[in-house]
Amino acid sequence: MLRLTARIVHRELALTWRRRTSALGCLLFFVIAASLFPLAVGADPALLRAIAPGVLWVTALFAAMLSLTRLFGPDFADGALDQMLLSPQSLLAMVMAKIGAHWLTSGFALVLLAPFLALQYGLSFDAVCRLTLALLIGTPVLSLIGSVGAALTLGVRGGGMLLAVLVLPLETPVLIFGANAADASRTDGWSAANFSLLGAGLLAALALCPVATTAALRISAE
Amino acid sequence: MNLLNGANGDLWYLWVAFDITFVVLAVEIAITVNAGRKYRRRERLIQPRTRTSTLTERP
Amino acid sequence: MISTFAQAGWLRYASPKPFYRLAGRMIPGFAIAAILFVMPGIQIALFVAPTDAVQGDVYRIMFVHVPAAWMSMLLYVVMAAYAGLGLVLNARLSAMMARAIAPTGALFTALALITGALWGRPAWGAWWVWDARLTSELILLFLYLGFISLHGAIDDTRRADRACTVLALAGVVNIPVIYFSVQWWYTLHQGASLSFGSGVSMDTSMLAGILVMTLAFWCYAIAIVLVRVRRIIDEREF
Repeated sequence: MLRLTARIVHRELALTWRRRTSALGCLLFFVIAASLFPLAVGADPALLRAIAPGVLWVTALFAAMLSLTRLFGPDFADGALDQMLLSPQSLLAMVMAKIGAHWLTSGFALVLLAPFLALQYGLSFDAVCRLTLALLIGTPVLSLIGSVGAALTLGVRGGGMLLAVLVLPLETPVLIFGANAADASRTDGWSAANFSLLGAGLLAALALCPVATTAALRISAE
Repeated sequence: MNLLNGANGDLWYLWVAFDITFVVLAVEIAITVNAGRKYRRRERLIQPRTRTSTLTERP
Repeated sequence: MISTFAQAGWLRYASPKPFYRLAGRMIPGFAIAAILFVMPGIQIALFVAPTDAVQGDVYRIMFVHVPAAWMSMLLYVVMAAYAGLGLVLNARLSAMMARAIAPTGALFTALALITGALWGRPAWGAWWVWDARLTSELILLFLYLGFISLHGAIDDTRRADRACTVLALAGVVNIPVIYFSVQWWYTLHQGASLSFGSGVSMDTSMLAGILVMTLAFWCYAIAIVLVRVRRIIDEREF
């Protein structure tokens, strides 16, 4: 099973590298969208520091949403997904490997970019650390919950928009806890509580979402 | 103090709330009862003669 | 238990055609029951229940707001239950019931939000606050609308049914969040109107009014869902 997972991760990373334009596109969207807000609300440093956690979290959410269509889309289109469904290997393991690889190329990349974007908002070192850690714990949950939506909307017309409509309500708790955890103007106790909730969400998502995604894949690809 | 505004002037909200509730429910009844007219069974005792192919469409 | 049902002949109602006839007989009964409950309900709501010491008479919005909110949560749970049943037993009719419940659930959620806003403005001074209960009720509305959108977007009906089942079950975790949010977070929304074991803190007539209006909405919901499922059966079954 471990070798299967490693192989799938390697496959996903190799395929993403070949089509790296779309992956980089999502990251570029994150950078551009986050840059729009200071232009729109004005350059008042105090205001930017106050809105930074929320804005960066929402743009990370949108960027993750945009990248979800490439989780199962290409495989569905060229028939590789059918092969995975037919194979005697554990579909659950394959799905977990795909989600993990997808997170590495989308959510994790956002986490690495976030400190640089935080510079635009003039956040303190403490705030940047909180934000990065919150994104580190939260983006896997976004990928996990999003994978359920991606599996449900496979091959559906208007899929990208529908995916966002379905998944964003389910991901709002992650957004709320994540943005609260990243808020540097609150007490440490408040941040710690939100980090705990984020961590709990990650554990619950790890346990439940791959199963739901596997079921949804079987439903969609029949 | 009248029946429309009440003592604080806020009875208006009460009437709007009740009115919206019952109007929305009435609209839902109207839409649901009238939906799916094309598929309703046994609406006419004699089916009209079909001009289209019955292979692909219901008469 | 299944065998006693089968012996009594109930299992045949798992099939769309017999259920169509049964539903047709049930609808008038529930419609009349709804009217019979709503008349005393409105009477209690507007005339019998006393004026509140703090809020005056505008609190009477509670008599439509609370039943609508309860129905919005109840209908989601029932919808998710039907959807899950349809997936597990591979029964078409259960999935059709889930699809029939969704629009009514969405409407009750919208009504709860609208009447809540109309009550919030005079009572708290704000049309909307982002506290836990209001936010999760808003998310509930999005979940209902997502269910309906997903069903409409997938052409193959069976695949649509099963996909919406997964979605409904994924969202059912929101219901306890709505219900317990007033306990888990410090919120502006008032605490539970009724809670088990602690006795009721409001006047008896107010409690009676809420219960009667809830029964009225419940009978209405059953009647309208049965009408809609008959339309769905018409559409799908030749």
